[in-house]
Amino acid sequence: MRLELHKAHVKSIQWGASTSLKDGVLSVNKDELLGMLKQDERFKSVEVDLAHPGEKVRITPVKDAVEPRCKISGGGEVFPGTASDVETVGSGETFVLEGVAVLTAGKLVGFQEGIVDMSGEGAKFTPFSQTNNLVAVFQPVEGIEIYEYEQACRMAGLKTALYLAKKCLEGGAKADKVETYELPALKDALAAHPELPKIGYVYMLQTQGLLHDTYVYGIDAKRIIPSIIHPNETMDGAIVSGNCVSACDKNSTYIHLNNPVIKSLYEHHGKDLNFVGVIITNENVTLADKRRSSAYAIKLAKMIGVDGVVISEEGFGNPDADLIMNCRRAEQSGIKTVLVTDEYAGRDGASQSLADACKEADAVVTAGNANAIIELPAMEKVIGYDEFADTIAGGFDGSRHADGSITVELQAITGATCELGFNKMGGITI
Amino acid sequence: MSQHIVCVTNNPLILERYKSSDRAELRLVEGASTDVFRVARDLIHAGWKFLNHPQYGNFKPSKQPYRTLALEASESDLAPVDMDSFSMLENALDDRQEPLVPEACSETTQHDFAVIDAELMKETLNRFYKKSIPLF
Repeated sequence: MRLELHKAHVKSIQWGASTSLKDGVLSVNKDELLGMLKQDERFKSVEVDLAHPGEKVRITPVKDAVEPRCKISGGGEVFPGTASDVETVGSGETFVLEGVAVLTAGKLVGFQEGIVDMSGEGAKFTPFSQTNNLVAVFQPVEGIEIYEYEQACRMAGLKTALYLAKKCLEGGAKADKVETYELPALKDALAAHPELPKIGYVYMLQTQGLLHDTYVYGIDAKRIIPSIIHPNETMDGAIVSGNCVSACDKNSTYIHLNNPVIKSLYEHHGKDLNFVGVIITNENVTLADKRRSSAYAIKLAKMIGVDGVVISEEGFGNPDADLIMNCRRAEQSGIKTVLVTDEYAGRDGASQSLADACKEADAVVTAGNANAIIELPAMEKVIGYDEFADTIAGGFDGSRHADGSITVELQAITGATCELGFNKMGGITI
Repeated sequence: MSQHIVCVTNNPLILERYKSSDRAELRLVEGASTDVFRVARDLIHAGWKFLNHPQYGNFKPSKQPYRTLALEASESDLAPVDMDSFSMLENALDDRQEPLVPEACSETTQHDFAVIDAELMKETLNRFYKKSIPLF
């Protein structure tokens, strides 16, 4: 499967007479966009706004972030099974508006979901302070069932992203660069590079219930048994987020589209490892489901015949048990593991980092301590509603101060400790 | 012991949504999430096993006022303590912060927390309990 990402770089975003891209400036026809979003009768109101890097703007509570993409060729359309018809994606050419994110915001439940600051201390921790953001803020109609409303918000984000990319492509926008991703069929992949270790990727998807769900080709991933997916399919939106809990380490759709683990495995492919494929698995609540998924995912890795796997987690708490179960089973099967996680080690960093551990987990990458405290200065403008700061995950009584500043744990910052490495914290050895 | 599944909860929404049956009991605990854990600990000391992982996904125990735990009885009255369950319980309890009690939250937030707790437990409880209302 071969996929070309045709990336057009966007320097800024503005409202305009038509939705188009010219000289790196994305113009958006606000009325046309609002007209499309308001067709969903589940929304009482929809507002859209723009936010640029460096502005004194706070966006909260953020649910999902989506990168605008659409297919040029290769069959199907991005976000299959959700915003588009179910068709296999991951081949051909895909158009990408790079440097833009669609952020969805609004009250879903009276806590959770994230904060994105476009400047100040908080901006240093969220990747979405560096993107030109189109923010859609929703209010549901009275009496709507909460699952319905979540689905409406999810679909609105995906449709907006698809709309932006399609309009620009139809208007003649050209890519500034083309990235090519290609992995052969499994029999050829396994025969290639016999001198290099065969490496797979076990991609854990959060699937514990409302706000904790992930969708694969439109299927709620808690209802799948682990499966093999081509890495290119993730770049065409085969995996989408069911909105966020917790903000710091829930993988938004934007991050699924730009998974750094997959990108890095591609970069190393043929040099110091042979990247042979991706196994998606879930993170359930019931212990029997956890054991089934872990056993099945590692069985797939054994059937493929990998020498090692990278395992990434999503979320914390009981998903730590899935991570460790996957690690132990793989290592005991003779498959080496590297784990990617984050830590909840208390505000002073002195507490146990994960809810579970095993001696086989001896190669672990951390994305940071989500309990670390951060002071967010007051902003000149808030898009959305900041009255939930006291009850947001990572917030506490008194989080929001009278002057508009906020004291929270990093947990409240969207993408701050992303366990795919799409965050801004890290350490290097010098 | 005729009922071999028990669901211990301080979440009133669970009792609205499900009914006890011949094989599965619902037990409402008054108080905080730590009180639910104490009831579960007594059962585990008597040989019961967890059906769901007692760690919450993405919540510190002290940050979610409601807690719902499903346990299964051992086949023997003289069963030893299930060490996996015991260890999971102790890890879940290892949070030295004061628990958030439902009354400390606004009515809307209480409801939202109750919904999230019930939704997280839905897959587990749907297998063992009769539903009181058909719409979920």
